[in-house]
Amino acid sequence: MINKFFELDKEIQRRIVEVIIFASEEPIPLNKLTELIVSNSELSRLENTSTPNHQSESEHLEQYILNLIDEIQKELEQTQRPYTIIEVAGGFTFATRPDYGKILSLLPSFRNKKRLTKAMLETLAIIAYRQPITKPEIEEIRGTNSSEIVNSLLDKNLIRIIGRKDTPGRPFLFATTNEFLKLFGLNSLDELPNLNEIKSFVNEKNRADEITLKIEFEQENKIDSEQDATE
Amino acid sequence: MFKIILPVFEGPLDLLLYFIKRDELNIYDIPIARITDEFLNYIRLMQSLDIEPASEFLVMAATLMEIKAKMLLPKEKIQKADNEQDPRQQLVDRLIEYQIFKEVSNAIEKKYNENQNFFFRGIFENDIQEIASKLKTLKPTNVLELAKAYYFLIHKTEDEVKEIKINKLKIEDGIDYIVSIMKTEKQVSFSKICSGYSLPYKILFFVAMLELIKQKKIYAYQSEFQSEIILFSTSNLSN
Repeated sequence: MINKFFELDKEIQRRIVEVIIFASEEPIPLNKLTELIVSNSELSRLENTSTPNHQSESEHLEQYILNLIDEIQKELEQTQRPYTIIEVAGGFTFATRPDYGKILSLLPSFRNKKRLTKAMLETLAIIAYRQPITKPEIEEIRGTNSSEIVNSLLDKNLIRIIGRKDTPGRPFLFATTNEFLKLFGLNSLDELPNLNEIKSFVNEKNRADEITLKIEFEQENKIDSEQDATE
Repeated sequence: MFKIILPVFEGPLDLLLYFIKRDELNIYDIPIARITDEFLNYIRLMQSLDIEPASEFLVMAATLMEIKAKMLLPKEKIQKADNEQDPRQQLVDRLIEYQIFKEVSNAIEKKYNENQNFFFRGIFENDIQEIASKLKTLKPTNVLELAKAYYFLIHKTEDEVKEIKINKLKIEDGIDYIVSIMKTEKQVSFSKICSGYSLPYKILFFVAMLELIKQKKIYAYQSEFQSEIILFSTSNLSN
């Protein structure tokens, strides 16, 4: 907690926010960041002087910190730093700017580091949308053995075991990790592509195929019958 | 030499979807006989290339043939069995669900590619760990290993230190001893030689006796099985 944070120079305020994000190993959520900066005593003092509504006050503070982050981002861009602050996996963290990230990806130890195969993506997609899910349930959807893929996803720390299902055999339940969100640039699971949209897209496509096939079939029949008639 | 390029399928459902797409089949009205033949041909192709088809392909082949068999039953009979589903329904449902997740995986792959060049702090950690494990000074460990180490440590100190006495018995010594007795007595029983000595010495004397017999310095006589062995010296003994 920083004493009299709001009485500090704005420049210093920005540096404080920046250094906390820098020091945090994992993306730091906004409310946590705010909590760290604003002491309780200060919070209560602010509450007494302004609106008595606690909720709106803390929201107001978060918005203030958010503005500071926005200013830091602009500074980093103006000074052409190769990194910036992004919001991912429910918090703020430093990340490379894509242009410079490309350079990192050329380094030998980065090549193929987190390369995902089709099978892995498929399995990840199933786990992401159906979590918590067991291996037999994954295999039911994929129609094929998925042990190795699940293991390699565990190795890559993209999924984790969160418990066991109360069914015969008590199989492990798998869920995605923060690492998964970070790798896919998602702030939360809500940002996953909408499953219902994809569902209706697939169904529409299938129906459209069905209709065109029917029309083709009918036309062929028509031609056949016409030919029969002429013959 | 010839080369065969086989598309990679993620399993039997993937293969079926491939057939449906390639032949522009209607997923809601799959020509089951045709697709079963295609599927079985593919399995035969795999076998002819010495690829063992995974068991799930065989399960799917069986499922397809079961559906095919059901479809061959006269229709009236099926309708009598109250509201029985199209035998293909379950397969179609699974195919569509799989299709949806294939589509989803394409969508998240796009996300992944867009995000490819964002790197976070700490990405070198694995490399550092690798280097450390190569140095063998800082091996990554876990609680279990720690507990094991502790267990062995505790049990090591509990064991009292035992001294192992090594009796350096040499056959030559045994031979010398027997020879020294036999020089004064021409005939002696084995039990007399051994009297007063512990088991290791008795074994030593027995081996020494065999050696002396082999060297034809003595010969042994036993009146019957398990009876007393009597040793006689020969003229070779004194040499």
